[in-house]
Amino acid sequence: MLNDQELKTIILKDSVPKLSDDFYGRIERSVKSTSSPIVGDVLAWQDYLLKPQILILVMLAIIATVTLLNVSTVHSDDDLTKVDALSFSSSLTL
Amino acid sequence: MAGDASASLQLVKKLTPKAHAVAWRILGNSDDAEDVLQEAFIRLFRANQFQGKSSLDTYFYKIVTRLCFDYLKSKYKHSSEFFDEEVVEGGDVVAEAHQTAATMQQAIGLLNPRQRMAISLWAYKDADVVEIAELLEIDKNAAHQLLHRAKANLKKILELNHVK
Repeated sequence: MLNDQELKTIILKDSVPKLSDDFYGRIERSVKSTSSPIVGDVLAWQDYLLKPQILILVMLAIIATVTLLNVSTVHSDDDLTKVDALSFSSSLTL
Repeated sequence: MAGDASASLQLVKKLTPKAHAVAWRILGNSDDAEDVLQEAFIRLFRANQFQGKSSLDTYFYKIVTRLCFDYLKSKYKHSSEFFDEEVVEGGDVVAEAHQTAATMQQAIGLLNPRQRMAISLWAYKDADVVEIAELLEIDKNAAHQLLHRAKANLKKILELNHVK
């Protein structure tokens, strides 16, 4: 008896018939006549943006942005402390 | 779909090869498979009902398999037993019909439509039981049984007919 892998190999061994020459032209014409071109582009972008790799990149970008914002806030606090110290020493000098 | 570089044409070109193979195996004819794909793309692009609950790929294959099933149902509307899972499970149909299966395409043609769909999705799309269940809108156990029977019946047909 064949095992599953052998069965799959035999099925895939048959070559799939070639698409007719004008297949993509046919699709283009029929889709054009029945829908807005924007829908197709939106779908294509949705497909692209929902890919796990893209989602991971977006997450990483958000994490990086949040981290950078925190760092810059901490720096701003430091700067404020420095300014306070400066103004304190200036007033002392005066 | 203006121009070859448009995102939607790229999407069509990305989805077509495997979907054509699946539809061809289910329907047994490349021209019919192309017609089904054309209708599937029209439905995909006509109204953007894709909500991102599954991948766009899965959503598209759901349309394709549903259209293939409807096509076969209309083609074999006078032979309801063709769609009766029990008859094929019993083995009688397979045992009788195996005499005529000389090629893989004919062998797959002897399976009932749901089994054809399951085996084609498994072979060409690498779909597992969970994905087959989602695409054919049946529960996981039913999909498991369906795929198991499809494989067993096909193996039986191939071995009886010495199809290699």
